[in-house]
Amino acid sequence: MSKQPARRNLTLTIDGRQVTVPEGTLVVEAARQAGFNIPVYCYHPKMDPAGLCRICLVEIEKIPKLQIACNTQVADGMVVHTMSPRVAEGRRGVLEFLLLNHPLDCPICDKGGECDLQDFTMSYGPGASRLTEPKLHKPKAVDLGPTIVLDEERCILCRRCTRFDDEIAQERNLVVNERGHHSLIATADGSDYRSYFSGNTTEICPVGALTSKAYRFRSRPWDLSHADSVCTQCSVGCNYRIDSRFGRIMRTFTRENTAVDDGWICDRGRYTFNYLYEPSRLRQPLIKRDGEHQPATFDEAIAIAAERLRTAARKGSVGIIGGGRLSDEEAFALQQFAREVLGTDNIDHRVGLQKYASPSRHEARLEDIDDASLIVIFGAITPEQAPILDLRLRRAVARRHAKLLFVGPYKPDLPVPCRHVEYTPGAIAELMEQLADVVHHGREERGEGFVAEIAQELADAERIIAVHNGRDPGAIEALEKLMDRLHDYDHPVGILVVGATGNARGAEAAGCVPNLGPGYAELGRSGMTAAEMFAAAADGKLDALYIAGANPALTFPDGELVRRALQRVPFLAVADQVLTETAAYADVVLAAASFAEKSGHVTNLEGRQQAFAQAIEPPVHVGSDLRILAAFAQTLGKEWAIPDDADALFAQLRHVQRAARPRSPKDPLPRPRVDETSLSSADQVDATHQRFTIIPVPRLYAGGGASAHDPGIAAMRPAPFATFHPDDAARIGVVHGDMVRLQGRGGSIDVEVHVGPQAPTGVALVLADMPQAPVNRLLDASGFGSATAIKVRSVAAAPPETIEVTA
Amino acid sequence: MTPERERRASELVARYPESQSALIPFLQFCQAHDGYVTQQAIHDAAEIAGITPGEAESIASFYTLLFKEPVGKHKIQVCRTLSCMLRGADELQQHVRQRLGLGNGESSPDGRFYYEEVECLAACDRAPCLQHNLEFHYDVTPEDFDRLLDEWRASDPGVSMPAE
Ligand code: SF4
Ligand code: SF4
Ligand code: FES
Ligand code: FES
Repeated sequence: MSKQPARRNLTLTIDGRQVTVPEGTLVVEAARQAGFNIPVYCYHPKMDPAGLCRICLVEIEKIPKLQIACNTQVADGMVVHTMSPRVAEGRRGVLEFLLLNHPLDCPICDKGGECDLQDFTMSYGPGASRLTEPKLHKPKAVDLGPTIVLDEERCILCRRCTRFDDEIAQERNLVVNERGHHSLIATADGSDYRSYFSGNTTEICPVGALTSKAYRFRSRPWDLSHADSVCTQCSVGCNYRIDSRFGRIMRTFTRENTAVDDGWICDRGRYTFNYLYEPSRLRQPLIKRDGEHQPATFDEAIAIAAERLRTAARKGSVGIIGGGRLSDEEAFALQQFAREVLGTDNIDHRVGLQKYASPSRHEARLEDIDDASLIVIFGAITPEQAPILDLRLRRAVARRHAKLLFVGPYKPDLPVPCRHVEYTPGAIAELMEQLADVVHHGREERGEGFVAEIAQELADAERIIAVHNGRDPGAIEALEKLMDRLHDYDHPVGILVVGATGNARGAEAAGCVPNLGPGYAELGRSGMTAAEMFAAAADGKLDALYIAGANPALTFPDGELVRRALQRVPFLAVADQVLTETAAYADVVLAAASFAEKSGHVTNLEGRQQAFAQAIEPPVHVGSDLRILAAFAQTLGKEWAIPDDADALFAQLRHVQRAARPRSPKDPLPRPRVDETSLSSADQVDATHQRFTIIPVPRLYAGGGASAHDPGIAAMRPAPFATFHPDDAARIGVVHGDMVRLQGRGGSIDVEVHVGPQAPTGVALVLADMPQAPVNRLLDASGFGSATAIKVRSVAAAPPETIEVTA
Repeated sequence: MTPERERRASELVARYPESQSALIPFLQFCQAHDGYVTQQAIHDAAEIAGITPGEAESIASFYTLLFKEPVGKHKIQVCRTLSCMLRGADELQQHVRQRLGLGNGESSPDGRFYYEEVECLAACDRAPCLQHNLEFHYDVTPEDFDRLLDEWRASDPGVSMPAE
């Protein structure tokens, strides 16, 4: 598959040891392979060599001057010395210069103990400075933005941070200003350094110049305990380490898994943990008495809930919702709870717009993006929903000139060239079918026009990766058929599905859907989908609901239906970490453990099952979902169904999942059932007046659970907004910053007006999953909706009489 | 962007194989009119060069002849690098500061004078060197400076330095 010409192997000698490496290898990497660590500051294996700091000097025979190992390629027969007296002298000199104005405030520096300047000075540096003049002083706490503080005195100008922002994030907002010893890390006109990837710069900064606000002055590295974990904030499943001190999380840190995260994590993943220490964290179960939630013991809560669920189950009138925010073991336990303990198939993890969390065939790996020549995104907003996957896309486009095609209702904000094909969700299926047809009928008959043009791009591509959001079953089917066609014509193709929740795919594979058991086992029968359960409950036809780690009141498209369902259902139990919009309705709330407080496995969007270790103990009255479900099983006399033992459950799950990988086009994986109400109605709205089609837009920092209660994330959350096309904004008389009330089928929300050409005319792009302004009030179960926009306040604080009141 | 700047931008862009090369001449053009490089100029320059405003500012800030804020019309820059310092630049600097009543990087309140100590002006063979707007003065003694200052006091160089 690889198109690179085979590279010659070269043999060289490093400190007397022979090493053979491919042509083009840098001396620093060759040395690493030979077991010698050459000190580096500016060099970083994920970025292009820059040759700025000179600490990596080595002696190469036949070259008179010392050379930098980080930007010198190996040659056959090269003889390198990394520890000769000349090298030692060179390093000493470089360090003396680096330390010339360095403040040496190691005792109060976050980096102290894991700082390359400290370490290399200890190993190679001069013991004392010869400088007698006073040191140059610079600002020590420059606020770079919501996440990062810069100490200019400590910066050694290695430019790793700016090169990260350029080469890896492709955003190019962090730069070096001025020159010489005046140089400093800065942004345009002192604007905020805002990037979803900002935290990574604090890790790659070799000194304590870039510090993260979340961790500043919180701990010394040698006091931290480490746990190897996996981020579950989205479905990418980046590997990370949780560092805690005295049982409290201090920070998270990358734990490179090249195949998944390439050594980076995003800020949502990195900084979402302080909600655990907020008063809003549920620290014990709650029972509703006289309309008020009262604290209760674990056993009390389990006893009441178990009894009510059993009674409802006897009448076959119980439903279970959740799984996408649980571990694989817990998702499996949840389906055991439904099917084995309560005897119902009414179980569904799908509480958003997503219907499918995996491809039925042509499964791709994240790494396949690295050699894709054409990447087609259908609907998934990758920068917001899968940031670290997006970094891979950016690299493919910016560094390898892969083509990026985005098919969807609006163009997401991407820092790399991307061709946008505007198609409303309902119409995507049609486009796919046309494309499949054109691909099938051969080059000559492809004809002219837009469809033909895209078909041509598909036909020319060497390797195609499609990324979709699993939302529109018709479109997905058509996409898969298109991929079949391309596959028939010998194009390597692959499909990735961005999960709606961190473990959506794990939940699907564990059987948290009404018609499939664990391992996609077809049951030949089906319980109710989440939408059907809500409809039944709203009609008074469901006696009890159990919701685990899901917040449909905010995320399910028909918010009004959920509200009625949760109000009307005679018994509702919810397990979660905070009192979510959903939990607020519950008769019994169980306090659930976070991922940091338990261990197990999660399955990421490519189907990779990854283990995560427990980092800290949960509060005393808080139990993992597994412990909660096991307690239910035991209370109901079915302890055999759910052992309180993640390892035992994992073994069982593995056993049933063995045959469950997406298969060949002829033998695809079976699909979770989708009900009629969830299918897109694609109703067209007459946009001549003040009525707009509502399209919910995801944002990394939106959400109702942990992110809404995390002080660090809160600082980065946008206020609820809706983006209108400039023409529409002019037509309804609003400008950027005004407030409008969007009045739709299930009520109204007030949002700030944004104006931008990315909004198609007649459409309001509304920030999704915001508790203060839940867009799902305006949507039906299929995710479509429309609303009237009425200005309620102008940008400048408006006098009261201009406020229009709507009925 | 004003129509005049737009016109100039397209002329400059057409002149080079890469549009980025137009960045500095464009900034000089704006500075010749505004007296310094305004944030608007940075944003316009970034747009024509296809880079971010941060990158444009980074490049602009590298150059001592592009001013990031309003400065005096007579820009007096004295070299402070090795050759000049060995040949009496420090005395000259002290003298200039005292005569102008300005510290390094300061402008006079009436907006007529700006004083700055800069890195090597590449005239080391005739040190110490002083640059006034775009004009070099070599082997400058304090007495030379006094004479020059009288001349400058009597003249008005206009809003700023010529662009090219
Ligand atoms: S802030 Fe850190 S990473 Fe950035 S240039 Fe300075 S030392 Fe290097
Ligand atoms: S991309 Fe997703 S999995 Fe990775 S760190 Fe961010 S939120 Fe976590
Ligand atoms: S690591 Fe080689 S020059 Fe910086
Ligand atoms: S040292 Fe002054 S001009 Fe070179």
